[in-house]
Amino acid sequence: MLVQQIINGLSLGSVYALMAVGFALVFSILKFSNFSHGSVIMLSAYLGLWFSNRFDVGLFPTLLVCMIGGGTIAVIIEKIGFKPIRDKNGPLIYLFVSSIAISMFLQYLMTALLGGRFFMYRPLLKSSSWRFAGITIPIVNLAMLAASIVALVFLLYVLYRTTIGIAIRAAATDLSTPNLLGININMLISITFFISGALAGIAGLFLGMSLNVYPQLGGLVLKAFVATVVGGLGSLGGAVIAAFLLGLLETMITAYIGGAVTPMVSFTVMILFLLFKPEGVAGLLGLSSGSATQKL
Amino acid sequence: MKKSLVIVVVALMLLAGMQVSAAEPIVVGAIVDLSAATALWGQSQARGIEMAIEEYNAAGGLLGRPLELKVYDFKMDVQEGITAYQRLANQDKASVILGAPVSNLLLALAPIADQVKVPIVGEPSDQRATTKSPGQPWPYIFASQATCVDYGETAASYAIYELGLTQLAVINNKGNAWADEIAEAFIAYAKEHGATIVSREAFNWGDTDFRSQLSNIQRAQPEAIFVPEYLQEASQITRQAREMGMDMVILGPNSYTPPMVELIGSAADNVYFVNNVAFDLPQIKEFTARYVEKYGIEPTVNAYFGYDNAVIALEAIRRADSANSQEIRDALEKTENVQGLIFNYTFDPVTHRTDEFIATVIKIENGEYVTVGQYKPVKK
Repeated sequence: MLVQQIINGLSLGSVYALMAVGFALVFSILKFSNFSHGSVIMLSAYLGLWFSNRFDVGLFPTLLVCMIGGGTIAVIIEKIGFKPIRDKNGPLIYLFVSSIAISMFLQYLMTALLGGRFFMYRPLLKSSSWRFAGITIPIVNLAMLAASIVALVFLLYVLYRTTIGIAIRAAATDLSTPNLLGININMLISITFFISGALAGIAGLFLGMSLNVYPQLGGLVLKAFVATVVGGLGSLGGAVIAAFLLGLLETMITAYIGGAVTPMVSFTVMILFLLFKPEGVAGLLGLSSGSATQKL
Repeated sequence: MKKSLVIVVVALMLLAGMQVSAAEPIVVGAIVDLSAATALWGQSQARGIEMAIEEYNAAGGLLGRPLELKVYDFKMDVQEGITAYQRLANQDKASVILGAPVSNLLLALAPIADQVKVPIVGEPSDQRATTKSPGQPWPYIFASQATCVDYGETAASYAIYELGLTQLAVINNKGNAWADEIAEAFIAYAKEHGATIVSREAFNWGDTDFRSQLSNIQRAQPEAIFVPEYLQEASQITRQAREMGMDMVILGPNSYTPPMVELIGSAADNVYFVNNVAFDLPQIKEFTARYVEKYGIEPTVNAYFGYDNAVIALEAIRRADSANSQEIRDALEKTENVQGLIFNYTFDPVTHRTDEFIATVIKIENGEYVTVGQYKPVKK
């Protein structure tokens, strides 16, 4: 029973983690919570649905299209919704508000275009879960777990072993420094958004496969936001760890206390972290020193 | 001379004004969710209403006046719904308002309608939306649908007396008044009739992962799980339960109507649900065909309710022979033998609802909806 609940918790955590990485990545550079991340997830889910049905292809081509599509959508959102504000040196709160407005706009746009209908992927996986010794492991969630680990490792590689990564890390510390060093800051931000969008694309495909596709699909990003805050805003490693802790916490409370109180506990934890440990899990684990954004 | 000219002009203007007012449309308002979580239902309902209004207009309108439909999207937000109601009543001068297919909004509107005094015909299944206190209705709210208690009791009775299942589990959203009312009625009936609730699990709005609750239910080994939930939650719970190897009977409300099978496929097998609509009625089949032809999409049950609510309201205008909200309200209370798609409606003046609810039990088998038959709960 406990083993099953731990698996349930990790499986829920993997959903949050995949969303939280992309969310935290943008935060680490631009220092605002990008709620349009949820709509990139939602749009990618629709894109993957259309693509897999239209061309009758399997999981991996669809995944690739979702990643490229999600990345492109995120870059377009950045160019339209955030760059003009950045260019005018607008306050961070404008970016935050703009991201909420964009996410609402896109949600209602999809409702207007396609209605509040639920769409379903045709089965891209042979079976939806593995069962052995009375334990059930949902395969889609396992794929999300794998994807968030691969994404994290890939990001670590990019950030620490490539020139772009060094530039991104420099930008995360201070947005004006790389500019002084002759790095094209807009290009850097576009790359960051593309990676974040590609991660949203992965999340969109897997969420769409397991939860149906509908305009409010991106709403789950709220939990990614909680994970990012608890993880230590902007810390990728912290966000992933916090996402799994959040998934486990929610599952355990639901299992042993009752599902009605679960959200209260999640948000209380978030507030407590903001009040007493604003550098989050990353700070607790020494993943970062000083500014939560300097290191992973 | 000049003076008399003025009088003539004024008289002409008045006459013209009267002519305009004679042809002035009777405004019928509708508050539905067109863009949020229950948009699928709301859009279907709005189209059902539209079809009724078009039919009446094609037959010359009512009281010699055309009917004008004004639809507002309340985005599943109660505050937006209240604003829409006040706007319809005060600004658009709606004579009667057709309500959303969710109880939460009408629960909030009931006391407001008491002040604003424009009647609402909806299908809230929460009896508190129509009943102020036992034996006393909210004067301006009418419902074409049975109550949550009827649904919950029917499902429990069917499980116990027809399927012989007595070890029961319940899972629902504690924040959803409709779901919780049905769940409570189910539990109360089950306990009274000798069944055992072996597991009671809860979740909240926006939850998508129910495996933790389902693991608890699985451990309690029920013979059936009752899932009184909306489409998205019900589909996820059912699918996740099946993935976990829980292949017992799942009982539910009318959320298991199409597109449930389309969404979750074979996971929907071995589901029995209590439906308010018997799909094989000839008038339902005929309406559905017209709807599909007009809109190019299958209706949900809300289209039938939208249509029926409109017919109930419009027939009240006809009987009242007035577009005055107060007189329509009085006529609504005397609704008798009004033939809709789903029922022949006669309102009980004490409950403001259909006086007798006959449910249809439908089983999902090999991806097909099989009507088991009409069923009335066993009463002690």
